Amino acid sequence: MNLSPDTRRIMETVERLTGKPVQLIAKPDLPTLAKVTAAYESIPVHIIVYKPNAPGVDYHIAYQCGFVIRLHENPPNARFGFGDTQEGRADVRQLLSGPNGTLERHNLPEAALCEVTDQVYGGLLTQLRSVPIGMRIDAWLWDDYPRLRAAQSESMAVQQSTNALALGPNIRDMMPTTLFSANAAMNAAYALFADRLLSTQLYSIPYRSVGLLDRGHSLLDLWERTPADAAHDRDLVDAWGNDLGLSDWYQWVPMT
Amino acid sequence: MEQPLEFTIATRDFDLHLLPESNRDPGTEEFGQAVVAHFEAQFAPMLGRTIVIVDAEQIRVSWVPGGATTSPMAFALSLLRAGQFDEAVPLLGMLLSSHPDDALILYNLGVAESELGDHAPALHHLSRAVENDPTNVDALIALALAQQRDGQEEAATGNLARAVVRDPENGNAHRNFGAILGNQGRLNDALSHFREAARLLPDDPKSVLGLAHALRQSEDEAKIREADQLYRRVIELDSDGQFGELARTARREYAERRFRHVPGLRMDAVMYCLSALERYADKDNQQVQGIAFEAALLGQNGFSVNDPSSQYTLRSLPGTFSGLGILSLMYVGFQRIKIGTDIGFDLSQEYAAAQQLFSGEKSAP
Repeated sequence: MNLSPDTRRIMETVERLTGKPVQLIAKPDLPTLAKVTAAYESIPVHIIVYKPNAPGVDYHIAYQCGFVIRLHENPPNARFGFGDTQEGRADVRQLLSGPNGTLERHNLPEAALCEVTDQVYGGLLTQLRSVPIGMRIDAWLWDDYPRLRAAQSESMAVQQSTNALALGPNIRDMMPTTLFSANAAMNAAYALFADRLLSTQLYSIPYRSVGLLDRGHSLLDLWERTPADAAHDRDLVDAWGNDLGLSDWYQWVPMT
Repeated sequence: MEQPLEFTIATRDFDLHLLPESNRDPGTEEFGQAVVAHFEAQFAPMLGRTIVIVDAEQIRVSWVPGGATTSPMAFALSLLRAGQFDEAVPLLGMLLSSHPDDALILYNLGVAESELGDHAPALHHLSRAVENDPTNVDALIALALAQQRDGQEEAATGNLARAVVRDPENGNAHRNFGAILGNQGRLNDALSHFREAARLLPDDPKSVLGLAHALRQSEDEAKIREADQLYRRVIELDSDGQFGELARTARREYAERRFRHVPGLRMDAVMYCLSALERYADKDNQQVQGIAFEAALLGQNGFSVNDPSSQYTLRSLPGTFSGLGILSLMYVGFQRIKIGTDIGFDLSQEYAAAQQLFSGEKSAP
């Protein structure tokens, strides 16, 4: 595949830092734009699966490499994975299907309820793990790789459009307030960050209209006050988790 | 390309503090006007067009980038061309509210909804598009596709037959008609329409792939060879995309079928696997991985496993290899990295036999 020189350089950084190669796999039906599985014991290669026909492929691959680089900028005993907790799963389940839960009236069968719980809980944890650190990666790419900016701008704009849809009444009615507020606050923070990076005022407009900008500013403020190096990535995620009331819903798992 | 921004919020969620005190009563005309004015002011610094629709339940906002000459319809069409159906549907829906009988809006909205799997609205809008503009053959094709996706095979076939009659030079009509005929087992008819599609659209990977698939159904060796050439063409046209991948898979499956046309172990493959085990014996996992991955990259367009005269070379391993030889290197290498890895070609029996021979070699005095 014809990647830009900047993306190739970033992939080489991953390989140099980790001693393991990066394998790209094109998957046209991937539901997201790209995802990375970092190398571990039985798979000694970092696998980046990407959507080949999506705009800005170079940026998506570079962005995913950013997560691997930041993880490996920490010494081995300071590298952690992000996991769920029984308490978190039970709380989400209760919020969805308990008395006065948003899905209580639907009387979903157990299997469907488990699936919905997994999706909602997993989605929120993925957002908490990815957004604040992803903003670090976006800032790094913007500053150090200006030739990727066109692809980066376009991709961030698409992401902002998608995020704004989560304010819709159908989602609002289905999601418990705790979950909706956490999701929307993180999206608001990312929108404010995108506005600043892309020199616009566009992406914060939806969140202003529903009174969420203060929450977004609060998270962005934490992001700015936490040191930007990779050694403080866990502190950053913890700061957001604490502010959003999600601290008991996840745990850090050492990567051995 | 700049992106539109569309979102919907519940009217009850709108922050009333953003409006003048006298306009904070939802449901009133003054409230609606104030909300529209609020968003127009918010978007004013950005070059584009804003559409705001306010009702008792929800507020729908759409901002389309571009100057005064950029119409929302033109922007919606650019979204469709880019495959951004999710963003196109709300915008087209809003345009349809203002122009309910516009055949072009109906057609494009129906296409987007069909791509998203929303059968009922797609069928409704496309049927109306065809009624309002019977000359639009593309609308007729889109309606047929939506009907097919909805399980209305007979209606879809009828509409595609009409489409090729109304516009015999429409490659898309021939391709889709060929596909539906092929599904019904009418292979000769399907083949003639696929040939027409490929003639009219020689650089369209979908049309070329359709013809290749239709030819491959035949028992005729000449047609099968023609199919293989067409699969290679699809890979050239769409190397990184889904059609290229489908073509590679088809070539691989066919090669494997031919490879297995005689039941039982392929002893040549056993010996190649044994040779691979021997070559890898003094190498660590990283070296083996490097060889296997290089072979995999080389084999993205397939190896000629049934042609013993084919020759391949690797940077990471000296020598010249036949198609089957390099496939065996790849297979054995990946089993060394992770047992059970599926490389898309099954040599498990030959590999097991080779392992037994290799163990025997190692323990021989």
